[in-house]
Amino acid sequence: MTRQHYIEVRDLVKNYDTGKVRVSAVDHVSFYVDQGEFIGIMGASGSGKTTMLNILSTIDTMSAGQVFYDGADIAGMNEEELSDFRQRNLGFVFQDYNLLDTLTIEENIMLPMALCSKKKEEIVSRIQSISESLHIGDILRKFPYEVSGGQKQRAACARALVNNPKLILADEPTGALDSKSSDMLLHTFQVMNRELGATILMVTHDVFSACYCERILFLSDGRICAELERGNEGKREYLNRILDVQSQIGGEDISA
Amino acid sequence: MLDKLALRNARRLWKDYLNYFLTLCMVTALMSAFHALLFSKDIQEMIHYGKGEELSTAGTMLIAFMSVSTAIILVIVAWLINYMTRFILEKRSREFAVYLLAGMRKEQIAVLYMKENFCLGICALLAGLLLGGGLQQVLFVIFYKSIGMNYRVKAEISAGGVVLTVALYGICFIAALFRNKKKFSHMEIIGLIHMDRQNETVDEKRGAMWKRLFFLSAGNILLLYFLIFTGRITKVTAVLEMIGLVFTFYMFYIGLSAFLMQYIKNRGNLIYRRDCLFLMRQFSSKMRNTCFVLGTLSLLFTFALVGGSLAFMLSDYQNRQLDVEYPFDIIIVSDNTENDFSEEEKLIRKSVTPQSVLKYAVYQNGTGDMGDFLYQNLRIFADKDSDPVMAEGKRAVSYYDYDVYMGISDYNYLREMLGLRPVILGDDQYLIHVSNRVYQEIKDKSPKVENSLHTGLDFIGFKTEGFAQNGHNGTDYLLVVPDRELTRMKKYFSLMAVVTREPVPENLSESLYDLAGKTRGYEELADYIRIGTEALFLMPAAIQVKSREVLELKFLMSTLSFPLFYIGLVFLCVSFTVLSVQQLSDSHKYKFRYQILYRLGMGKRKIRTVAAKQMFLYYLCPVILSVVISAVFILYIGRQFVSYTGIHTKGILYFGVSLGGFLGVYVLYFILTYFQFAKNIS
Repeated sequence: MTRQHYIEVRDLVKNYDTGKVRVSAVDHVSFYVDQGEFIGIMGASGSGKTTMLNILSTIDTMSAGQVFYDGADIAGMNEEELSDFRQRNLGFVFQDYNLLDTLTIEENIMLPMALCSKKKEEIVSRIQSISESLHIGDILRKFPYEVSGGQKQRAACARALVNNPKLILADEPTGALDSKSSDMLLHTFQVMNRELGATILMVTHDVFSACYCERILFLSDGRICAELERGNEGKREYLNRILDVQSQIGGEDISA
Repeated sequence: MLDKLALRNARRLWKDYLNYFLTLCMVTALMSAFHALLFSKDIQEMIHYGKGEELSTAGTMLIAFMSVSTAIILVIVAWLINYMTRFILEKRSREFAVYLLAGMRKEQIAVLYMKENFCLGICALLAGLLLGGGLQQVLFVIFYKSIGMNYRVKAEISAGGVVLTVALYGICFIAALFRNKKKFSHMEIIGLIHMDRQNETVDEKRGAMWKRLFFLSAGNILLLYFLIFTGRITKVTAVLEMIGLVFTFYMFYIGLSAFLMQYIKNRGNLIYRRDCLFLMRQFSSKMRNTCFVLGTLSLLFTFALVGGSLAFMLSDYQNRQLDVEYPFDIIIVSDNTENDFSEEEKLIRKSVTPQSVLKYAVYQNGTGDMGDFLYQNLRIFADKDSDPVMAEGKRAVSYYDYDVYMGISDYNYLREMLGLRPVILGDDQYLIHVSNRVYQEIKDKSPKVENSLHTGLDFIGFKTEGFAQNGHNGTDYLLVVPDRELTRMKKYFSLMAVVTREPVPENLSESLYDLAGKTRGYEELADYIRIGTEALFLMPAAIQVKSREVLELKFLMSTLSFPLFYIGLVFLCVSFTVLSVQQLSDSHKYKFRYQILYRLGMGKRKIRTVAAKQMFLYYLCPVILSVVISAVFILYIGRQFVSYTGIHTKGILYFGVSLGGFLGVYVLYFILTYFQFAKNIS
């Protein structure tokens, strides 16, 4: 009897028809994610990372294949079921934060809970605990334009976590941050993963960010071409191995 | 190259600002149709006396009202065009910054922008004029129908109307574009880059202070209701209230926005309920940034609603009350009690065949108890001068010195002429025939009117049908007594009432005046005639030929009601356009926000519902304020109108009809905007 994974992607295909030419952005990809994992997906521009993330996050449809979340196949869900699924099971962290500019940080965080019709008391206590964990308690009453990029991204993390989702999807979360803020954010991800038990799938092309992941899938031309697991390795060794794989598959300049 | 770019941009402008384009077409069509009315040859003939050049009273009023409304429309259209060109400039400021970075000069960009707007304006003008040609025929049919005449639809272009429309439209456009050209010349690249981001921040610091404005504004509206409905409004309070209302219109939205922000800040329970937080924040931030525009729109909506209601009042009076005020086809009164009207009858018979004629007299017995009672008790005389001499003078110009009596035989004959059932009166009984407006006021009055009279007869009741009681069969009232009672009285006036088989030619009125050696006109009116409480539309006239009086009054009413409808409609279109472009132009920003909601798990159908709620709230806001404020005015004016004219309509109905029309335009614009908005954010 095979073990059931938390998230399982089977033979995923995404094709784009551009006139007479068919382009495969994701080409028969299969992988799994277990509960509590912090997994990274790396690859050059155009390798299919974001397309795959969009399919996993149910905001794009697949051409073929199956995606199971805790045994439930999202391919068979209709529009309403998908949005409901997204609301209850997924959290998002984007490169450009995607915070609503008319809402304060606190309101941005509470919005997913309010949309799920959670009770006021539950919302209040959850925001308090999560903001303490992510060290953003002092900026809750501020608007996004009043805080730094790193704080915005931590607020986005809090929003992604607030509904206890099955999976947090992060798309180049450090892309708009300086190195110090990036470091803080990745540390936050670790806290979310280790202390709060969040399962995280992060798309990145930055090796330093990838170092924080326990496992990394490498994508090239829409296919998984390599996979790395950190195991008990130190950060430096792990970084070197990532660089090796990158150079083998011909990735982007990663020294930046 | 620049021309090609201008043309392409103009095409994009047309698509992005479709509502603005359609409103420009609509306003141009309305303008040209109304101007055509003013320049129409038939109407020009109607408003001049004979073939001479002298304008009639109604003609003077038509020209005066049309000029005033044209001036108002000019101001509002100029405001709309100026607002829109500035608005579009702000929204496209980054694009202009790119042109500057690419090496274009400011003047070139200004000319490019002018060309784009010019293309849009010319297209709207041409489409509007074309539409106006059709609208003109509809307007003419309605206008002629409203004055009781027939109009045959014909293909006709009013050159004067078109020239005036083009001239006014051109002035508005050129003025707005030159203002923008000036703005361009003062603009730097950095300013253009940041221009579309103005007002994006949310200022909550002064929330607590601004919140008070909401309560002050709401309090002021309540005070207005209190003052008007308890009759405590005086000249001083009216002026103060007017100033307060201007304050209310502009401060209400700042206050409401601050109130909502404060509510959110204080963690009110509503914000934890599904999409409420998102909607409240969207709404309050948009309101804070557009409070001046919202205030102006509320003001325009209020004018439109009040204007529309006034127009409906006039139209209602025109359709229903004129038959009550002029029940006989011809009625003539003379203070010569021996007048047998033989000359007049001869003249009438030359023009028409009378169905029935009655020459009769009304009487007086030297008492004026009923006149005194009405003068003491009717609201219209409530502000009579405290100086007894002046008060006496006012009573004297309102009512005859003595009460007017009529014998039951003449009374019943006149009733039969009007198709009313005769009345049976005992030898010791009398009745009062009173105009409805007066009856409505005195029926529940204490002491009862009959107790104030000393006729020695028993009172059997009131009659309120239209009975020519504007100085002919009494003024407002007539005491009907058994014939034998008249032997103890003196003749007061002689009268002749005629009901004809066929329509009476309108010029018979002038012929009768000629016969009397007078010219029909204000200065020649009989100075002994008293018309009592109906001083709103009617003039004292010894000779009344219904066809002439009704035509003139209907024309007069139409000259008032048409410009009011015109202004109201243009105000509505302009206001709704501004509201819709406010929403549509920000749709890219909203699209981003709705995308976030989508990622947070909100389904597409739910997003469409939230978008509809957002738009509805924004559309509703200026409407609610204007409905609340205009309601009090219309109810008050409506009540006064009903009371002064005696028309059988409830004041609230005028408001209802006007609001119904208003909501019709509202729904049309809302649906049009919603579909564009939903398309933009999807």
